[in-house]
Amino acid sequence: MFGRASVFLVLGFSGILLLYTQSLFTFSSDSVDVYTQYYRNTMAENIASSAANFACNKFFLDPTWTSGYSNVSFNGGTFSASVSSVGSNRKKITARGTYSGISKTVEVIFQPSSFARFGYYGAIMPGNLYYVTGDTVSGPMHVQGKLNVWGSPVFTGKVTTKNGLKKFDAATDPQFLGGYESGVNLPLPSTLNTVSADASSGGRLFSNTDVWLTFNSNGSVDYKVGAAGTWTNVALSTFAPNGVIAVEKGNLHIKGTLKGKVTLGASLSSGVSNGNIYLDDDIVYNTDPMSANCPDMLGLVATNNVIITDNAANKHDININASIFSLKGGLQAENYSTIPNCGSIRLTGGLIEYQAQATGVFDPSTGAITHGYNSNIRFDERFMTHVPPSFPTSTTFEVLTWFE
Amino acid sequence: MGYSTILDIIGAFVIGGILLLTLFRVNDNTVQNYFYYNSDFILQRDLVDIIFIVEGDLRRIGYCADPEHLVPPNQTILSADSNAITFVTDLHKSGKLDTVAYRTGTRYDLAETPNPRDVPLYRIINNGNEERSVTGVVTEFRLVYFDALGNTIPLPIVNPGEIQTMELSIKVENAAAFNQNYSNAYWRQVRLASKNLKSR
Repeated sequence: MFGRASVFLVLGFSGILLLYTQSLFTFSSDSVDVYTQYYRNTMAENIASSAANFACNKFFLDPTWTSGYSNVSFNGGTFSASVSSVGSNRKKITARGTYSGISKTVEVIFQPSSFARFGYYGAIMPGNLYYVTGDTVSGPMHVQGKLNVWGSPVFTGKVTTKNGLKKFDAATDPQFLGGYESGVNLPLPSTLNTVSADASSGGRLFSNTDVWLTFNSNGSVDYKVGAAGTWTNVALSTFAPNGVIAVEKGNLHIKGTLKGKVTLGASLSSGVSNGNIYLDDDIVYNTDPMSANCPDMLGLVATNNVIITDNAANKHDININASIFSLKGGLQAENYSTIPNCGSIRLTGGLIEYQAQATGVFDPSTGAITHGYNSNIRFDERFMTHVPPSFPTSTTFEVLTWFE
Repeated sequence: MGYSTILDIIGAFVIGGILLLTLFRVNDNTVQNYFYYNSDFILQRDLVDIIFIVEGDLRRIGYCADPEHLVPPNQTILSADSNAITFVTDLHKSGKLDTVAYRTGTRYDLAETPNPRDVPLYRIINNGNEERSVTGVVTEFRLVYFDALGNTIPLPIVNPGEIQTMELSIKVENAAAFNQNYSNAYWRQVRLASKNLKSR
């Protein structure tokens, strides 16, 4: 009797222990399953991300590339990618990665790279011009040559150069807070045809004459054609529905308070006497550009120079809200070496110029300006994502959004 | 029934008692191990769920399905701290930007749990007007931020626009444990970056 009971007892205990052990194994394998699931998801995401990067590289090298990828084996999984147009000259790459039955998608939207995204761009940097200790450049910057630095100037945005840095001495230590990259080739366009073309179709184009524009805070503009012309007031939305106003073989004279998004162009010059934009007084937005809700935006696009007019209105500082583009010149002050100290150029926007121009003269012994202007340029961060209409673009595309 | 019978009964009691005590000990260990492994599994599942949500959101900082509504990259992170972050993203690919905040609660929020270290991890959408949920219960939610050069940005973060990448560490423990023997699971992403943060 006791023998049989003992057998039952042993069998009972063994059964209970087996069930318990099985339960423990189940928890262990479930725990591994959880991490395996995470691993598979991560692998699928990584494959999709890699596919997007492959496609981006193809697209950067050849903006006409549309063939995409189909079911390519990669790292234990597969990927596919396609390119489509999404309007406003934008392209979308959709990359899909699959690993062990799990699929993930990455979507990247590109747009033509606008020069407005630069706080400063210089196609040429004169050999004797240095960024020195105390200088601060805000926003992204590019120099299509060598960037000359002396001491510890500060660059808050990402800086790119084509040919690297020229350091004044071994102690020079520039501060690139947004990073630095050399070997980036980003030339200016050869012409400003797009501005003229857009002005003639949906905007306002003038030819072989100078034009004066005074913007009003109510969204209208006063304009006259030729020095002897008569002033006319018209709503901007009527005057140039697409926001592009240009003059060919003439100069623009502008001032006022802008309400809206506008690009002003002075293109197709036949010498340095035209293709210029003159700033006759402050040209500012109706809403503070540092405000998150500022809807106003101005692009100034000149074949030659953007010039601060030598007049009474500009004798005490000048405020400019715009991204300035100069194809063959830069931002300069008229008669800078003979006018008195006129205070500061307060530019909120960006400056894209062929070559830095003089805006003032300073006393080397004191560092104080004796003639012309100091410069105070602050990048308008909105230009990173939005740009004035028809503002010049490069031939390459840039990533606008990345979804994964 | 004689003297030997009494000895048999006493012996049976002793052996039975030993068996009973062994059974109690086995049962005790069984319950403890069962509780530990069960909660460990739940814990790891919870951690992976939290990671999927948090990592997914952080990788989409600054994204918007409608490019017209994009904000400049340096304005996408609104505030950042060692255990909290607020940023904008288009959560539902609707073309409309949402404000997303992650922050940990206090120990008093989970005062009823025996674990003295666990706190809720809140995910607050559009300042709580749309959604305020507990993503999970954590004992550590730690963020370290880096600038474009990979340098650690010291706290407090004065200018969130400098942030380019971040390190995220999450640790979870079970809310209750046998004999206070809390199991834990830990996850760290050493460089988590949203490509929308990069200066183009």
